[in-house]
Amino acid sequence: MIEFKNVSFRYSNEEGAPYALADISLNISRGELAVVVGANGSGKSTMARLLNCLLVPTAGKVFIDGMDTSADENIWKIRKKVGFVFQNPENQIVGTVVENDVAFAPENLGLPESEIEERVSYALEAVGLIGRREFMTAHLSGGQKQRLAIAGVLAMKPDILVLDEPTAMLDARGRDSIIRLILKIKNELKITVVLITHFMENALIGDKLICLEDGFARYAGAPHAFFMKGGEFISKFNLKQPFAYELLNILGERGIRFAERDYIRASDPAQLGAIIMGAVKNAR
Amino acid sequence: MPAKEVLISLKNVGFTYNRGLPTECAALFDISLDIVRGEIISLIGHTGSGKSTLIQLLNSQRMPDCGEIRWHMDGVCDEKGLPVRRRVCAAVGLVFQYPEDQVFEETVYEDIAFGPRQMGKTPEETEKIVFRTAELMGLDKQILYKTPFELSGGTLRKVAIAGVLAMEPRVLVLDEPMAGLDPKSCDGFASLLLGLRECLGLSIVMVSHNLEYSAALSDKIYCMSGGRIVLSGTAREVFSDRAKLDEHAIGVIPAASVAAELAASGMKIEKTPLTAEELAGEILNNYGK
Ligand SMILES: Nc1ncnc2c1ncn2[C@@H]1O[C@H](COP(=O)(O)OP(=O)(O)OP(=O)(O)O)[C@@H](O)[C@H]1O
Ligand SMILES: Nc1ncnc2c1ncn2[C@@H]1O[C@H](COP(=O)(O)OP(=O)(O)O)[C@@H](O)[C@H]1O
Ligand SMILES: [Mg+2]
Ligand SMILES: [Mg+2]
Repeated sequence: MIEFKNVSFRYSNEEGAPYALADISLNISRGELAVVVGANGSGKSTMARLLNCLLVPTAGKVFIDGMDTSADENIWKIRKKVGFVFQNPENQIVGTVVENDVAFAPENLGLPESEIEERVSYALEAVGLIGRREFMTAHLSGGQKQRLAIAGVLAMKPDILVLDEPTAMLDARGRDSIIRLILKIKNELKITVVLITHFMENALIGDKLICLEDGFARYAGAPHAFFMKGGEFISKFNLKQPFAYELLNILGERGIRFAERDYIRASDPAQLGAIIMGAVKNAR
Repeated sequence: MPAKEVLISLKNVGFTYNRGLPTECAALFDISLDIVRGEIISLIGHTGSGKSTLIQLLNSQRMPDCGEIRWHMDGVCDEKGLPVRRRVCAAVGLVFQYPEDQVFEETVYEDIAFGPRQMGKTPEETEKIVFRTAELMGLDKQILYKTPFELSGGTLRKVAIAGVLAMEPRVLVLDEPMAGLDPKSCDGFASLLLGLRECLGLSIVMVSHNLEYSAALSDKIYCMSGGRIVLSGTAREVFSDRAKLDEHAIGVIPAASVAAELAASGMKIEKTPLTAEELAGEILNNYGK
């Protein structure tokens, strides 16, 4: 469980310094997948950094499973719970060989050899790099490094996984595979996931959507309901409709209407074809 | 129509990393393509297919180990006709995949000013260029005096692009320029690219995983797989060839993939749609008939 209670944050204490986050109160339940969206500079990464005590609030409190992130005695307990994938994977890679990189953190925990091996295989399998376990990390392309960074965190078996634009550097197929992986992590491992993304398609996979604007949380609720508020509302936050919603809206304007449940179903791109075939049959 | 002005040509180019070492890794094979003045081309393909490597050849950052690359722009070659690396780098502006690799000055202003100064612009000219490119990229004046490390990821990317634009290149090469930009900034950047092509006749080479933008902007798309060009053509030609795209694990755009699904269910699709608008048109053609 993640709780933000009237959280404000600024990077500088000087008079008049701007707030990167302003009076945020919200909860993310255990096992929930929360997606955070918003314009560049709206405070998403700042919010993420508050989750693993990299930053502490200027005012208000953040609690992780009831532990106050601003209390010194909690820092290491919280850091063990919260796995973090940063925006740029380059900064997170420590090993020269893929499997050593993934083994690095579990080794530091002093786990037995067999457990380390099991975790490394599991993590590399999950991200699709098992075939490259003996590869030099320096030779991986950008997208491959991003997946390696995720594997490194998974090997730590965290309770909460925070991903700050993990797909930003991936090709379209890599992006889909990571999104499927995130859903698997949530559904099978019951890990709480906080995903920051600029891909509106992917914003729909969450149980909860959080939208930030200039440090304020302007929305926290069902993803489909946010995007159904219409293009004008969404564009205030520098966002766009996901493709499926754009299509259903255009068809709606031209006389093929869709119900809210169609929009909810359309959050899964695999359903879109069936929804449209159904509507066209009904209209005939 | 005026003849096409080829600015850079590649003929049967190959490239291998760490040649002769145990870590040798062949990254490009038999690449032939022309960069034409005023054209926008996109390179797409699976991670590791060689896009970033190819892009680094275009501004002579890396040299091919077989085949030939030629720069036909005025003033980039010496008397013997050999490319001068410094001049090639100025004429072919490369925006790196990771902005952190590019932005290194104390302030955003200094960073954008770096290129123009290197090129011998006066302080007054430099200042004008900095303000103009910052405005083009939608960067507020107050951001110019911040240190780059205080910026959010997306804003840092805009600074990296501004730094390259400030050098007024003839060919703009962008490695995943939209990664990390919010959706409205992506749209803004797409219009900016079209504007630069229109006003300055700039040629643009873009690697993008944001395939909808590649489709919307490009005159020609090259699909790469395993270091080779495996498919090329207009966006519509490329995204119609579902079998090839699948074979090489190259992504599809949503409009085309939904259309393929609808066609498989018996709907009539006249031509592969690239946007939601075009797909809606195809669907409505079926409706009511
Ligand atoms: N280390 C820092 N020092 C000072 N200010 C910072 C620092 N990091 C971020 N900021 C400022 O805090 C605000 C929020 O930044 P943040 O990185 O959280 O945005 P974001 O929503 O993650 O944006 P993006 O989508 O571009 O990644 C911005 O105004 C930014 O300039
Ligand atoms: N600096 C490097 N040293 C050695 N091999 C590299 C280097 N950069 C990339 N490679 C290898 O070259 C191939 C192409 O990579 P890259 O051009 O980065 O692909 P893309 O940009 O399409 O993801 C990959 O097999 C990658 O592992
Ligand atoms: Mg960020
Ligand atoms: Mg690349």
